[in-house]
Amino acid sequence: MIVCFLLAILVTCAQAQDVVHLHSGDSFEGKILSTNEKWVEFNVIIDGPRGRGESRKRLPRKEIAFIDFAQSEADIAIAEGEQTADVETLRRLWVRHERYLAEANSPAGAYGVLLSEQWLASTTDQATAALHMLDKIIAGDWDETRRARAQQRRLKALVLTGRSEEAAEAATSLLEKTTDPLVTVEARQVLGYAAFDALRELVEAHPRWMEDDEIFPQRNALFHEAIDHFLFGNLFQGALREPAASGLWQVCEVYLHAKMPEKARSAAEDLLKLYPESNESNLATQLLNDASPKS
Amino acid sequence: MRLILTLSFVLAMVLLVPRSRAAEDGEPMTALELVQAGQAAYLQRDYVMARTHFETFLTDYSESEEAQEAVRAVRPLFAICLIRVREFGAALEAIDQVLEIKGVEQAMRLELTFWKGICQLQAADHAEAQVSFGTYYKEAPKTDPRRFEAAILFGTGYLIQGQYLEAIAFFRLRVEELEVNAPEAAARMITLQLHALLQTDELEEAVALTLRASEKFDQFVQIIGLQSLILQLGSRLLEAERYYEAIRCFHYVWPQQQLIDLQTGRQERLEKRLRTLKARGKADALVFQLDGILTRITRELEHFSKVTHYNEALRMRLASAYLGLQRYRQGALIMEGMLAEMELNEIVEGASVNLVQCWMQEARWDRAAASAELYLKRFGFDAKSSATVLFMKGQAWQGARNYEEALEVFDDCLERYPSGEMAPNASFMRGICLLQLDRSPEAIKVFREVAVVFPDKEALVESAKYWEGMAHSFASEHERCLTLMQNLLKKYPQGYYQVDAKFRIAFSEHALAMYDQGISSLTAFIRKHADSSYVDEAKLLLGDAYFAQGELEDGMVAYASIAPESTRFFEEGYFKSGKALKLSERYEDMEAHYQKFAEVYPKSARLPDALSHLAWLKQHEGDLEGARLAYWKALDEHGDDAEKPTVLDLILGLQKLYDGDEQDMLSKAWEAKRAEALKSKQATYAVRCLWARGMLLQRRSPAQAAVFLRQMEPELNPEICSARLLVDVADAFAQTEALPEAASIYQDIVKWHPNALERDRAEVGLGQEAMRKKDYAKALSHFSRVERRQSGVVPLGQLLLVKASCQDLAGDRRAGLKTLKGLLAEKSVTSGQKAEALMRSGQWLAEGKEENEALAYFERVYLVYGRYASLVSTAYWSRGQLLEKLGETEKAQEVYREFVAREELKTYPEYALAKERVSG
Repeated sequence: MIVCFLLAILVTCAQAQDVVHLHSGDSFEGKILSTNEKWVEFNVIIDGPRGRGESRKRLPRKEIAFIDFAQSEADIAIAEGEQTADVETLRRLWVRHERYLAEANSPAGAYGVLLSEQWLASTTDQATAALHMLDKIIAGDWDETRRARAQQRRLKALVLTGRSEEAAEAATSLLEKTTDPLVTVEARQVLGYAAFDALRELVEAHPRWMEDDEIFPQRNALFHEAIDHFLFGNLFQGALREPAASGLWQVCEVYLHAKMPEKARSAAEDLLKLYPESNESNLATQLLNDASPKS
Repeated sequence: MRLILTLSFVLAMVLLVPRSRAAEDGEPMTALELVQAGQAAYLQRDYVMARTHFETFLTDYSESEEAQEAVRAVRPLFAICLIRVREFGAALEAIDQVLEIKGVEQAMRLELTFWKGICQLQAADHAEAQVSFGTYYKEAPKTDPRRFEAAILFGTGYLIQGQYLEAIAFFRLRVEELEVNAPEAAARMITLQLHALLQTDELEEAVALTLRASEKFDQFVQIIGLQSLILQLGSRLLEAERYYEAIRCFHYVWPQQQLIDLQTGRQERLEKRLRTLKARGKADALVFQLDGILTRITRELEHFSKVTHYNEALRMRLASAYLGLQRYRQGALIMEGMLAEMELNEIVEGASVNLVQCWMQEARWDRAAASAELYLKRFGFDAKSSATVLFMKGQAWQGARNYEEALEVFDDCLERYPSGEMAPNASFMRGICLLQLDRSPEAIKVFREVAVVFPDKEALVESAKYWEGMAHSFASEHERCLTLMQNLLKKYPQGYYQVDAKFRIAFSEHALAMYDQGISSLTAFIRKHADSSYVDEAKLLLGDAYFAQGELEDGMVAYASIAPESTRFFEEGYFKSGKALKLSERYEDMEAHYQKFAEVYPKSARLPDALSHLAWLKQHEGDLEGARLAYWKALDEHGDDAEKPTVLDLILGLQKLYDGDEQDMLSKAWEAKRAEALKSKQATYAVRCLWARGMLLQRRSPAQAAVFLRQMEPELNPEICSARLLVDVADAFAQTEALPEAASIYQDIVKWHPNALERDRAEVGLGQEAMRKKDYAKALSHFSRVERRQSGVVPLGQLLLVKASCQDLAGDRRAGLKTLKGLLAEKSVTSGQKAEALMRSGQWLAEGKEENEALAYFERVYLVYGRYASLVSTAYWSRGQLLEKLGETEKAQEVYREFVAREELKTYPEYALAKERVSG
């Protein structure tokens, strides 16, 4: 308490600083130097009677509620998704904050997830790097929502790195643990793709599956499994328009693969009517136009 | 705050005014004390106390000239105190008094105008309230946050007065401005606008507004209110059968707990923030604003937490929308979640019944049965629809062709609900299942019971009677069937089964050799029921009946009337006519008959039959060359048609027309044909020519045959080549130990001809290849598949012998012995294979130290299977050796002596060894 009292009377400098908030309601500005399970160590800049100086302080962890890490307004906007940033900016921010990933209120995970997303969306082969980063966030981020988002992105990273089976396993395991809508939809999509891939493989190996008593039920099980998974987003999380529409388009693809054009048309019609603004709506329109009788 | 400052300033003016009579301690307070006390209480938000002091002051000093300025300053505070303590009537009066005063500061005037509106709202004077709020909105600075509140309250005035169109117009105009400057207020306005749109049935605009709102749900403090309206909108659209729009709305309605969690979180955060703000004593306006929000959230939460079956209703509506679009799978998936996750109630129960029906509609029998099962598990067997659901479970199994399981469920249904609504149907379905399980006598019994136990269920009784008759028919009890069908027709002359019954009567008469009656019944049936699906079968039976009576011409007429589209009946009739022509030695007619068939139905599987008849005619005429030419002509015509596997039968048919030495000539002819085919790019025919050469040599020289067959490999297109041809080529490779090449073709057979009989040969080949690669599990899966199929293409004994070897190699000799034991019990297995199985069993048992059993096996070989000399020799020798090992020298000598006595075995190596032992 004496430390707190002394700190309280110090005048901190004006530039952007980390702010340590105590359970007592007090807060102190400074520069975080290190953190561990027992202590938070930071430099406090003091404008004293004989000029500006720095004082290294160490506070017991149990007294600290959370730390407001110094961020510019622009960085905050990036972390909160209000502003976009390029890969380099995100990488810089991640490097700066990474070591405080586990600290309550740390923005590190936000930058990490955003950077992974950019890597996963890029044409360059960065999926493995994204996977590593997401694994770090899942293991260490203080924020449950962010960990969930990382789990969701990890599924895509696994698929892109050719680890589809692992992706399907991870998806199944995630579905048992989470109710997070985004994660659930992504997991279902991954399972849908896994079933669809298996279906394609099976049909390629057994083109006359319908004549084969043993393959017929296997094919049907995979066919229905793929559709049921792909429909999930649309049925239960329709508010997540893009993944829901993407799933519905995959339903069209499964029906087309199964040579069921009428069913594919119905799914395309659903897609157009329910998600007219989605990227997949063009595909649906094309399917309907292609399938319509020529005049 | 501004009001308080003004008040402080004027206090000096009332210092000399006498004491009031209404002091707390009995001592009257001075005017200054009253105002100061009121002011202090006001600042501490103790409005009750402030009101008392201000009221006392105004009562005591409002007439005092010296106090006029203070009175003017106190009146607005007094009015606000009245509002705070919710005395709106008095507050309105107080405000009016202030506003009447000239020179009231604009800020104060505005402040009180707003509150006046509130008081008017409370007094249900909505039009006047709108005027007040309108004035405030117009006159307040644009940065004033309360200006937006005024706008909302103005619009609300329209809603309260039922002026929805005006409200919509007003909100449309203002919402954009608010979206920029006051998102939270804009969100409230959107909610009100949605309410107005619903009231006026402007559903399309309401949907558009919902979608716009969905982009920024986080700005809606009263999200529950908004979502309830969206749910209402979706329901209205559902009622109007505007399913897609309904679904779009339901997409944006969150589950109840999600909403409660969100709002509880908001509530907690707001309470915390308000506590801080109030403690600091600053930001009065913000406190007021947040207080309002907190009140609204709290009120909403209180109400919403009490709503029951919210999630169920939402899900059910969503499912209904999909069912409206005939998307049964989607409906089922939604309702499946309800049954699995939600609390049990009437909505969930109804949905669950629907769920089973939806899966059945989609022919997803396994899911239907599983859903029914889950229903019964969750709701138990005493719920409203348990009997129906249990019955549907039986139907689902029946749909899945799992009749045993279906029968069990229908039994269960009858046992649990013997007098329930579903009992008659369950009883009847038991009969159908038994019939499908080929258990006709039991089915008959069940159908009889239906009529006895449920006499009131007329339609069901009629069905039961018909199927009772059919069950007799299936059991070849035609007399009984005839009687039952006649009775059925008598009782239900216009019944559902009248056509079927009439046909069955004719069928039974024919089967009972009552040909006259049969002819008459069949003729009548064909005339009256020309559209019936039985008509071609009836024509075939009619032809048969005429033939049975020796009336060949009439018979042939009947056969000729069968529609070629009903291929099976048509061809059967056609070939019966041909046979009749042959028997009556009308060879010219016979030739024309089959010639016509070959020309008109070249794609028929029976083309080779027709050609063989034509060839027979030529041979009969002594024209062997003519017969051969007929085949060659057909082969030249159809030889390259990959879709006609019967060409292979033609090839084999032709082969029969060449004897002995002529077969070399035929082989050369095929060689020439192949050259021609290759030249004219008839790839299929060219391959078939090689196969023909292979087949020709197969008996005489299998090795040479295999050479031709292996030559085919580069030219094979497994997709179009028949399985029969492919398997011959694969076997040719296998014969020469070229197992990988063989396996590749076997794999193609499995891939492209899964239903072909030859598949079993391919599976065995693949199993052997897997054994070679020591992948015994894979090999066993191939052998088991063949065993399950029971096609008979691969002799069972051969299959079981190889399977047993595989099990042994896989390290499971016990399983191998069991397989061999199974082989020995099979009737269809040849004695050679049984002998081999016994021999191998004996050897394995001997190795496994089960010597006594092994001895018996060896003995059985030479006692029972004497004609398999090689095995017999080995068996004698093995038995003798084993006895020696066991120290039974005398017995061993006996065996050797018996062996040596059989001179026919002396060519076998064991014989000499045994002879040595005997001598020794």
